[in-house]
Amino acid sequence: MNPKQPDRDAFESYLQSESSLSRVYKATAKETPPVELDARILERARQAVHPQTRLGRSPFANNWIIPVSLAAVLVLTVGLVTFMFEKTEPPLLPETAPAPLLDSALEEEAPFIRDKAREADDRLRSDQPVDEKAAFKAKRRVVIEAPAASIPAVEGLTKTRRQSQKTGEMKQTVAAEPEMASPQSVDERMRSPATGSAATRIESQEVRPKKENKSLGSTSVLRKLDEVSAVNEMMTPEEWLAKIATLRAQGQQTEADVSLAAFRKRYPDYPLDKLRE
Amino acid sequence: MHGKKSDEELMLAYGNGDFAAFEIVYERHRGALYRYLLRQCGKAEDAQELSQDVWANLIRARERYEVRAKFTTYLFRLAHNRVVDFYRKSANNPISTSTVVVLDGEGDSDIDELPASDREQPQQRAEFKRLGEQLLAAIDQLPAVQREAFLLREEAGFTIEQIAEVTGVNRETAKSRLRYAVAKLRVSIKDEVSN
Repeated sequence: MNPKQPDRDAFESYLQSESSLSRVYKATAKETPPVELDARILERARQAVHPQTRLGRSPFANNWIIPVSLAAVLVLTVGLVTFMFEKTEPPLLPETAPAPLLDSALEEEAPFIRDKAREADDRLRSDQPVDEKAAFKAKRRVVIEAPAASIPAVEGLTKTRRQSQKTGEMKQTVAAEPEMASPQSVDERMRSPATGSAATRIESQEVRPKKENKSLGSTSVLRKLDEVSAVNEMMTPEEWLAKIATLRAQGQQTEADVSLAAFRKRYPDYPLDKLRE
Repeated sequence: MHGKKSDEELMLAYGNGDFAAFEIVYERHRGALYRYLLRQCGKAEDAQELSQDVWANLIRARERYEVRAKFTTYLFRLAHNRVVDFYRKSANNPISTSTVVVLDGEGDSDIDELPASDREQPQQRAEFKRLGEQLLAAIDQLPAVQREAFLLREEAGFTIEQIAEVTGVNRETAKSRLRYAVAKLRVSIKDEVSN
């Protein structure tokens, strides 16, 4: 008999059914992986198929802090450098750059304005009462004699004497004034030396070359009326009428009519006898 | 929902993005794989590291997984390869050697006759526990290849053919390793019982 036969038989028996060896082993070997290992493996498996979801709070949950912090530092640094660079640069600000052009234009224009104002004064001297004429002249003088160098930049409003000479005529042009003020406040500004430049600015805006546009539509006429009204509302009625008279004296009948219509709209009850006379 | 699905179906589902399928697969095999690795490398820390690596390899390979064999065969093949790497790096008790310890012919099948009712008594229960510890110690003393064959049989429930497939040897070699392992363990337990 083969001495190894019992062993073979035992082995075949072991393979065929659950042996005592297996029972003892399974009853003893009960180790399981720790919970932390389970969590790591499952989290890894989850991340593999659902990268955006996380189980609990991982050590990498605050990963967004670093890039956001870097971005914030970058933005602050760029802002600070830009601010310092602008501060040390020579004054090339757009607000101050056009000022010399405007000042020189007004300096060129000052005699012209003065002449026209004088003509208007002469024309009104015989018609207007003494007190009104004196007030108008005083205001006008303040406006004309205001230092041109102190005039600040005027947004979107420029005028050159050269243009007006080419066209051969100076017509009143109105433009929207950014800030609206009562006639009293304008009056104060005109009287005050400190704010005289603002009044001069208003005057300089009024005298602008006009583009030839004979066929004004009703819409543009209405808009023109509104613009004229907006600009002249800052004047007293006397000043406004004086300006209309000036326009008529200069032969700018259309502008004068538009301004008069705006005046009527603004002051419907104001007597216009003086102007007619 | 996935409870009655086979491992292969669950693994395919996980490959398609179903995380719940993986959870079931993991729950089914986490203990067996861990114990297999623990007995092979001997330290809990190493077993945890190896276990994490094996499951990570499975996760990475999820989209390439094909049902060519039993899932457990695939899983323990990954584990076998990882253990071989571990032994190569540690240069200790290399499992890659194909050394087969020749059985000296000793053996006894008496323990197979132990009635289950004997283990029900407290005294027998304590004895059974001591027997189990003795068995684990005997397993640790086995040559690596025989130990692996026994563990694959006990933990994964593999047949001789599956053990051969996982370990990369032919059927006869796998059968011989398992037979020698079983014979040695029987002897160790018999001695303990008889003492």
